[in-house]
Amino acid sequence: MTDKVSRKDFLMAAGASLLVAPMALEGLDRGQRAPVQHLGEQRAVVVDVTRCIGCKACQIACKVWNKLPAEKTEVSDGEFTNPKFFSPITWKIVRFKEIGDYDEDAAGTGGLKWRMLSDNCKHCLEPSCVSVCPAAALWKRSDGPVLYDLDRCVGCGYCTMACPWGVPRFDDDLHAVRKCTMCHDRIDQGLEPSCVSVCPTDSLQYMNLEEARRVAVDAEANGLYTYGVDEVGGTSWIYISDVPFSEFGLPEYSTVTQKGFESDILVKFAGAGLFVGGAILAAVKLYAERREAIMKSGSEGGN
Amino acid sequence: MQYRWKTSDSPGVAKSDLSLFMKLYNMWRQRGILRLPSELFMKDHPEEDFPTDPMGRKCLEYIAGDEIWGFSGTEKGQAGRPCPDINWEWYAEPDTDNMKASDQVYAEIDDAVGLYDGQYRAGHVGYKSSVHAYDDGKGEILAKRRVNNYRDGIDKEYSMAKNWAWCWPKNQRILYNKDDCGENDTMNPVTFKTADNTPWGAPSGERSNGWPYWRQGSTFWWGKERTGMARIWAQGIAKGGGDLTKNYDAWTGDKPPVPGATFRGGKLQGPGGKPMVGIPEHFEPMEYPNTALAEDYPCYGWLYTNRASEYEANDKLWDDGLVGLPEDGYNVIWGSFRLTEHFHTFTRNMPLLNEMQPEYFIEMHPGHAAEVGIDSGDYVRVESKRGWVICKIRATKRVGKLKINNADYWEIMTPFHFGPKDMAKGSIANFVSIGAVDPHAFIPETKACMCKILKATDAEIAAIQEKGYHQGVY
Ligand code: SF4
Ligand code: SF4
Repeated sequence: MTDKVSRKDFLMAAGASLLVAPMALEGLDRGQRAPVQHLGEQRAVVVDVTRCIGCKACQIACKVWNKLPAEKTEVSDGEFTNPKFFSPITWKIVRFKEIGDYDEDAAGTGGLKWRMLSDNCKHCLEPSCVSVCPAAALWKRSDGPVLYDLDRCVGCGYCTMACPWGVPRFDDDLHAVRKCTMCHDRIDQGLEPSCVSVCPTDSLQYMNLEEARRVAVDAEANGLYTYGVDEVGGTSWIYISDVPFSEFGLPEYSTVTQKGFESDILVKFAGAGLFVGGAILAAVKLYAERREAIMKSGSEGGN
Repeated sequence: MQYRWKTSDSPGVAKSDLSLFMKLYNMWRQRGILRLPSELFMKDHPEEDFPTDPMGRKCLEYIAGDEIWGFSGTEKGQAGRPCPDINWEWYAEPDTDNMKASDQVYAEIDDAVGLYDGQYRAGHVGYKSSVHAYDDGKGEILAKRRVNNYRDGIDKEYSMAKNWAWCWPKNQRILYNKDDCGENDTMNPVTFKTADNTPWGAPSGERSNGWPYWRQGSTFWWGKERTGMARIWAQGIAKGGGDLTKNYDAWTGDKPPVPGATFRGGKLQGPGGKPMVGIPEHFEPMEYPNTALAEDYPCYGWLYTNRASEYEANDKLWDDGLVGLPEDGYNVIWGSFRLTEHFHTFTRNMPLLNEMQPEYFIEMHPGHAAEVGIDSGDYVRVESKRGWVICKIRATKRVGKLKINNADYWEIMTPFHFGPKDMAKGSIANFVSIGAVDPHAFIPETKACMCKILKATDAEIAAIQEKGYHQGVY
């Protein structure tokens, strides 16, 4: 009898620890992740627009791996792009674009072209989102991904303004900013990013940065357009296309790095006052959160 | 953890234990504790090791020891051609007479896949080298198979019991493969067969060299080399469609297309008085955009067949006034298609797919939309003689103006996945489409018809915005 009970106890304990262990890990992950900074060669992804068939597998794979919920969308324009914009729960969008018209003279315009571009955070080599962040919640990992820590984010939203493509989006529920992480957790396991692993046409290809830049330079020599080799000082996601990138709404940037962009913001948008105001707000938020945490732990202790 | 009978409300959110296991599974996946066999395989076998397929892409069809099976899955050590010649001498219809209905279905699927896959290739030994859906040797439906041992070392290494059940080997279709247009061709859309299955007409040389064509103003079928060999007798259908004999005279006096074929009672009959089937395909649909063309190239649906029911079904459409004529303003060509994002109508409860294609729409050219006076995201009323739907439009240049017999016709396209229920709602596309039946293939003509496009009224817009769909039949 005693034998049986102890056995049951043991099984229950084992089962419980099995259930709890990953959750404990989850907790660790959320709060105390230290930026990993070493990590081998720089990795990059080449996005070849000329090969993309617009299947949106990458868009779904992103949501599936990162466990992001679906958005409520509607039909609003002629293109199949949906959702239309990045959001805290949409980190990747396949942008569809029709160029020309079907009956236009083939000699003049090439007729109708339908192109798709798989768009997300470019993981800049010198990211302006990182340099504006007053709380150091964002950082560039040496092997490519630009990462962020939800718990360090004070929700000031500077990065949303600083990013040339408006990639980081503010999440009202988490009161923090979220964006593509280049599947750093997969890279750590030696896997490709989720979107790359599902692309049926090899439109997305994961390789090291030098090779990616070489591929882009070759493409340029063949008369194709590239994006991300020099733009804003270079990015880890490099795009190749047979149509100009302005068609997809990607602005043309000089080869000058955007690293000094924070000072631009101060001058251009709101002046120093905003910065100071932002810092004060940040301090207030930090204070409030801390106070809340203390109150919470206090009340729990009281019970 | 499982609530089977609810006596009171649960204290919190009650979920099945599966959701907990999914959470655990995801955590383990995310941390690399759990790996998929494919991921492990990719890690151990660098891409450089893979063979290249005929299109120059790296592929891994199936590696067994040192052998690499060809692209077409039939010959060892050779990357097969994607368009194999089919040797029709070796081809035999599956013998399904003594099978159960379920077995018949799988045997037929297997046969079709074999055809697509080049199983009966010229120059190849005359046997079917791999089974797909049905194993005729064992009389076994492979979807039911439960073999949990491994085929070889690789399977074992990655714990993949590939003989567990069956799945489609490839989802491939050969469309208009000119190599396949042999004499006894059954894959080609233009098919010539008599009721007792003897091939006739269509000399193979002609079709190998190019497509057969109709010469305007006659109902003769003209091949490239031998003209006048195969010809049809057809029924004029334009406007009312009652007249059987429009081109009857053109045919009589010449020798019949099939030895032994006769006309009886105004209807063509095959040898031995059997009804004719397999007359060359029609060019104009039941609902046609251009009357002049419809008179010259009549609808196949009106040809006499041995399936009186289909013929009558088509007849009834006319009698019931369910066919719209271009003269009455039904002059926009309506076509339906599938979206990549949805599978048939089943996936409209999947949030991630609904996010990408959230509602029913039609595609119109921006020029057409401007004529109607609307823009992307506005509502229209799409109307045919059968029914009407209210839906949004997407202005896109992927559809456009078609020139038919020197007249311009706008074309619209629409997905058919939607309906009034489920998460992603929308009107039902097939309220507009036509139920005409192809008497040879017995397939309804639901992919093309004629319609009218009207701007939706305020009341209609209010109705669809409230319900998510708005539709009706006449
Ligand atoms: S694309 Fe925007 S969010 Fe991504 S690294 Fe560059 S600046 Fe930061
Ligand atoms: S998975 Fe590849 S082909 Fe499909 S949309 Fe994304 S980039 Fe394009």
